[in-house]
Amino acid sequence: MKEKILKLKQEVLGRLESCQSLSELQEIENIFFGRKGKISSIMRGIKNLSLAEKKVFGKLANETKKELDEFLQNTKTRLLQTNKQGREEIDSTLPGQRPKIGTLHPHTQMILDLNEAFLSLGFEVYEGPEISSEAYAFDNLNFPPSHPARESMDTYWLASSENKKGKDRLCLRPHLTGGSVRYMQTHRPPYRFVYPGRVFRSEATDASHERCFYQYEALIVDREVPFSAGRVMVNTILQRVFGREIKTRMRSGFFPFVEPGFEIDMQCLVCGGKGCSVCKRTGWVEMMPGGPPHPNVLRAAGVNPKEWHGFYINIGLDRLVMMKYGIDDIRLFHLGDLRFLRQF
Amino acid sequence: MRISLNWLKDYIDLPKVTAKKLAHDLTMSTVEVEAVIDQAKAYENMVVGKIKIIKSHPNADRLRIVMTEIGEEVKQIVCGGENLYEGMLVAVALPGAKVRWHGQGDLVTLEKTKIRGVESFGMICASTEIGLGDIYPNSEKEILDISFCKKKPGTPLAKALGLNDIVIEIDNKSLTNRPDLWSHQGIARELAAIYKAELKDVPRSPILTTKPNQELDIKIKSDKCRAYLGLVVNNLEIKPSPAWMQARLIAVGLRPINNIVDLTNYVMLDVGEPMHAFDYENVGNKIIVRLAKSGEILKTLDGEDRCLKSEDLIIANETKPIALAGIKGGFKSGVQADTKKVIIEAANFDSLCIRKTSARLNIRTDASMRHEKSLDLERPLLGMSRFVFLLKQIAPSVEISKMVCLGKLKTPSVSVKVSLDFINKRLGKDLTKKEVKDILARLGFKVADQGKIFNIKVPAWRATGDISIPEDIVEEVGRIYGYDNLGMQPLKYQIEKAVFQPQLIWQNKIKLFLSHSAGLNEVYSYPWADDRMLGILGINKNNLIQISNPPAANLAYLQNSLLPNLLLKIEYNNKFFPEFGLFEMANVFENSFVKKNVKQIDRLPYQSKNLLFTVVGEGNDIYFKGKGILEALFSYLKLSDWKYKENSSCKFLDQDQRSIVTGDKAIGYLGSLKKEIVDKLDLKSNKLKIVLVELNLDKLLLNFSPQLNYQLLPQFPSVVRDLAFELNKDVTWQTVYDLIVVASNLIQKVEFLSVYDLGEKKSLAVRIEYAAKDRTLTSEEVAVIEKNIIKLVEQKLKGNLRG
Repeated sequence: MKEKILKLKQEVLGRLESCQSLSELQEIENIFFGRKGKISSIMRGIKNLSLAEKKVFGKLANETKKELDEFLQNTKTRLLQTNKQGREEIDSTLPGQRPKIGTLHPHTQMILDLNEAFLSLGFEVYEGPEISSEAYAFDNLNFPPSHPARESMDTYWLASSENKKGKDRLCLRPHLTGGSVRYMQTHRPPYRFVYPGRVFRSEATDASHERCFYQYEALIVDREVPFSAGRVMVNTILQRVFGREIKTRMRSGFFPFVEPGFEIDMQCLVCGGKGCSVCKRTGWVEMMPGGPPHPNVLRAAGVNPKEWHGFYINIGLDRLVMMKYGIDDIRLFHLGDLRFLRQF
Repeated sequence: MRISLNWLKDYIDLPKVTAKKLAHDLTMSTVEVEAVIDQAKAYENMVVGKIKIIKSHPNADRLRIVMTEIGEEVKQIVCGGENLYEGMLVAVALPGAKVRWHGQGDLVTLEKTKIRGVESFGMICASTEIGLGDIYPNSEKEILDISFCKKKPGTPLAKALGLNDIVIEIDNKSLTNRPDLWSHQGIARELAAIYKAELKDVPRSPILTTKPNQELDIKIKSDKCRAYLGLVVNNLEIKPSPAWMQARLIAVGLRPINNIVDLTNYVMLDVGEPMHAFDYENVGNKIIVRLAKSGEILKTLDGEDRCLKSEDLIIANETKPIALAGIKGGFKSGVQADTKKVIIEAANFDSLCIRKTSARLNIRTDASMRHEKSLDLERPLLGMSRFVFLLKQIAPSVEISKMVCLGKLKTPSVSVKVSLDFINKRLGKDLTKKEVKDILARLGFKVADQGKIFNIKVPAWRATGDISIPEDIVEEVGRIYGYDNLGMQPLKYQIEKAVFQPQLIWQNKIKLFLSHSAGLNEVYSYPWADDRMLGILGINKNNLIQISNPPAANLAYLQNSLLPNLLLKIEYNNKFFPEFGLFEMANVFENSFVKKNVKQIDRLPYQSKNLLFTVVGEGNDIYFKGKGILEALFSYLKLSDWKYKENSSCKFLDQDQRSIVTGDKAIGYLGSLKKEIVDKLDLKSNKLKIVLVELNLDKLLLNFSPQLNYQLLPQFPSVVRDLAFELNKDVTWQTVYDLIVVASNLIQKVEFLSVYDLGEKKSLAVRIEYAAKDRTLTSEEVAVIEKNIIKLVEQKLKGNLRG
C-alpha cells in the first residue's frame, strides 16, 4: 500500500512539474484529484483496510494528499503567472457574442429625439388624424378659395366626397398645420406642442420627392411671443439633430397661414457658410417655413387673436434625416429594405 | 424673374455694395434671390478689333490673314469669314476667351495657335460663336460686324456692346403675394426702403382721353375686365428697337423682336403693367372684351387652335376672338413686319379668371403671371403713359391718338390701424415712433399718428389683398428693420404641471421593445394598398376607403390592416435574407364614420393606430417565435389581463390562429399565413413560414393601466423536478398544464421543457417547482405529489411516464 501511495505521489509530482498549460493542468486534476480520481480511489481503498493498517496508511495517505493539493495549487499559480507574461490562450480578437437587436426606422429615432427635447421645454406631443377635410387642410388656414394646392394636382381627395366642399370634402392631409387647429379647438390656450406625422401629396416621385413624407411641426401660443421664439424652436431641433449648434437666419417669406411669414434657413453644413453647390453658393440652406399663425387661423381654432398670438414652425423630417446621414434617395424610407434599415 | 442692375439705376442710386450683398439684403427683407449673374463674365478676354490689312493665306484658299488692331497693338489673326473689309470693327476673342466653334458644341478656351502653318493670335468671331446669335443673327461664314458701336479698338467687348450688366434672378415663388414687385420699379422701391435711398419718379407722358369713337371703339362686356385703356399709333415704321433697349431686354432674358413688341415688353418689365399691341389693319377699329362662347376657337400666336370655355375672357373684334385676355395674343392679330398702325392695350383683368384659363390651357406667359396676381387699378394708366413717353423717344415721328379709357382706374383704399406697442411686442423690440413711421413712409404708406395708434393708408400697389391687417404692418416694419437685427429674447411662459401622455409613452416603449429586445426591424409603409395584395388576401374593397385621384390605378384603396404592404416588404427582403422579423406601427382606415368631435366641424372615417409584426423563416419554430415575442411584449408592458381565444375568422390565417383578448375586447390576432397564400407571394423559398401578430393599439392602450404586484421571495427552498410523458398526439400542452398546475397547492410553477415526435406518440417534458410557505419540503412529500400527477396523466390523458 505504501508503495502504491508513494508511486502515485511521484507520478503526480512529476506530471505537475512538467505541466506547461492550464488545460493540461485541468486534465491532471481530472485524472488524479477529482471525486473519481486516482487519489480519491486510494483514499477509498483505505476504508477497507484493517484498523492497524488504517492507522499507518491513513496518515500517510492524508499527508500525501495534503502535499499534492498544495503542489497543485502552486503549479496553478506558476502557470497563471507565466501565462500572463506569455501568449494568451484565447483569441480575444474573435467577435463578441452580440445579443440580436433590431432597429427603429431612422425617422422614428429622430422623432423620439426631438420629442424628448421639446418635452424638456414643457411641450406636449400631438398626433392628429391622417384623413382630414378641406375645411382643415385649407379653409381654416386662410388659403384663398382659388389656391392651386386645393386642386387634385397636389392633394389626394377621397372618392365619394370629391365633389363636395369644406368639411364634407375629405382628403389625406397634405400637411400637419390643419391638425394644429384641431389641437387648439380641443385644448385651452396657452399652447405649446409639437406634432410629428406623415403627410401626403399627389406628385411624381424621384430621389428627392415622395408622395408620403414626414413633417415635424411646433407651435407656441401665448400672450406674449416675440418672433425670436421661432428661433428657439428651430435651434432646439437643429441642435438635437446635428448634435451641435447650427447658425440659422429668418427672412421674409409668404405662406397664407402665417402673418408675417418667414423662411428659416440654416447655415450650409457642407461648406460651413462659405458657399458651395449644395447651397447654390449662398452659404444657407432653406429649411422650413414659420411665423405667427394668421389671425384667421386662430379665429378658426376658436382662439381670440386680440388676446393670443404665437409662433409656428414646420420642418421636413425626411430632408433632416437625409442630411444627417448623407442619404441620397428619399424613396429608401418606404422601401423597407433591411440592408438599409439595419444601418441605423 | 430677372432684374437688371443697370435698369434699376433709372429709379434708384444703388448703394456702393457688391451685387452679392445686394442680393443678400433683398433676400433677407423681401424676396429670395436665387442667383447673381455677371453678364460680362462670358465676354472676358474679348475686345473690339479694327481690321487694318487683309492678306490671303499661303496654304488655304478660304482663309485670310487679318492684321487686326486691338488697342496699342496690331495682331495677326487667321480668319475664314467672307464678309471682311478693311476698317471693319469686329469682335476679337483673345487667347483665354471662351468660344463655341461655329456656334456648336461646348465652350472652348482659346489658345494662341498655328492655322495651316500661320500663327493666329486669337479669333475674329461670328455672333453665334460668342452667344450673340439671337441678337445679331448672321449667316454661315459671316463675321459679326460691330462697326455700329463706333468704339475704339481694344475696348472690352462687353462694354462696347452694352453687355456689362449684372442681373439678379429672383425665385418667382417668393413673389406670389407681391404683384407690385414684378417690375424694376417695384424692386427699386424695396431697395430704396432697405437702403434709405431716394426712389425716382417714373418718366411718363400725359395723355388726353376720349370716348369710344370711329377710329377706336372699345366695349367691355364682362365684369372680369375692370379697366381697359386703348389708343392708336399710326405712321409706324417697324424696325429693331434701340440698342440700349435691346441690351436691357437681353439682360433679363427676353429676345428683342421689333420696336413695338420690344416696347410693350419693356414697359411690362419696367413698371409691371402687361401691354399688348394689335395690328390695326388686321383687327379693325372695334375691340370687344367679353367671355368666350363655349366651344369657340382661338388660334393663338403660336399657331395652335385653342378651344375656349365660357369662363375664358377674350379680346375680340366684331367677327372673332383676337387674343386670350391677359395671356396671349391671337395668330396674326399682332404686329407684322409691314404694320403701320397699331392699337395699344393696357388693361386690368380678374386675377382668378386669368389664372384658371392659363392653367387649363397650360399657357403661362410673362403677362399672365402678372395678371393672375391681382394687379392694382392704377397700373394700366401708369403703363400707358410710360409707353407713350418711351414711344415718343424711340419713334418721334409716329402719330398717337387720344386714349379711350373704360372702367375703374382707382383701387379702393385700404387703411390699417395699429399701435406702436402691438408692433414692438411682436418684434420683441423697442422701436421708436419715428423709426416705424420712417420705414412705412419709405414703402409708400401714409401714416397718420393718432396718439396711441397709427392710422395707416396702404398704397394702391399693396392694397389688392396683400396688406389688410395689423400683422401685415408688423411684417413690413420687421423685414425692413431686418429680422436679423431683432436679436434673441428668451421664451417666457408659466409651467403649471408636467406633460404626461401615457399613450405616447406606451407606444414608444412597444417600439423600443420590439426593436431592441425582440430583434425586429421597423418599417414604414404607404397607407394605400396594392390591389395585388388585396386580391391575394381576399380583402373586400367595399370595406376600404378609395382615393379619387390615386398615386396609381392599382393603389387606390387605403389599408384597413397593415398586412398588404407588409407582405410587399416580406417579398422584397426574402430576396436577400432567409429569416427576419419586421414591425410597423401606423394608422389603418375603415370605410365607416366615427362620431363627430363636438369641437370640430368635420366628420371623419374611422382611423386607428395598428401594430403589426411578423417573423419570417423556414424553421418549424417560426410560429412560436412570433408567439413568444407577443407574450414577452405583454409581460414587458406588465399586462396580465389578457388571453388567447380560439378563432377562425381571419381567412388568410392558418388553423393556428388565435384572437388576442384583453378584458373582454378582442384587440388583434396571432397566426401563420396560410400555405396557399404564401404560395401566391413572390418568394425565393417555397418553404417560407410567415407568422403574424396585428393589434389595434387604440383599443389596447385605451384606459391602459397595467399593474404588477410584487411576490414575496420564498422563505424556504423549492424542489425542482422534471417529468417526461409519452402521450397521444392530440393531447395539447394546455391540457397537460391545466391538469398538473392544480394537482397540488404546493406546485408553484409548471414549465414546458420540450416536445418531440415518437412516431405513433409524442414525448412531452415538463419542469415542476414545488415549495411550501412554512417549511422545507421533504423528498417524500414531493414524491407523493409526483405519483399523483403521474396517475392523473395516466387516467385523464391516457399517458405514461417515460423511463
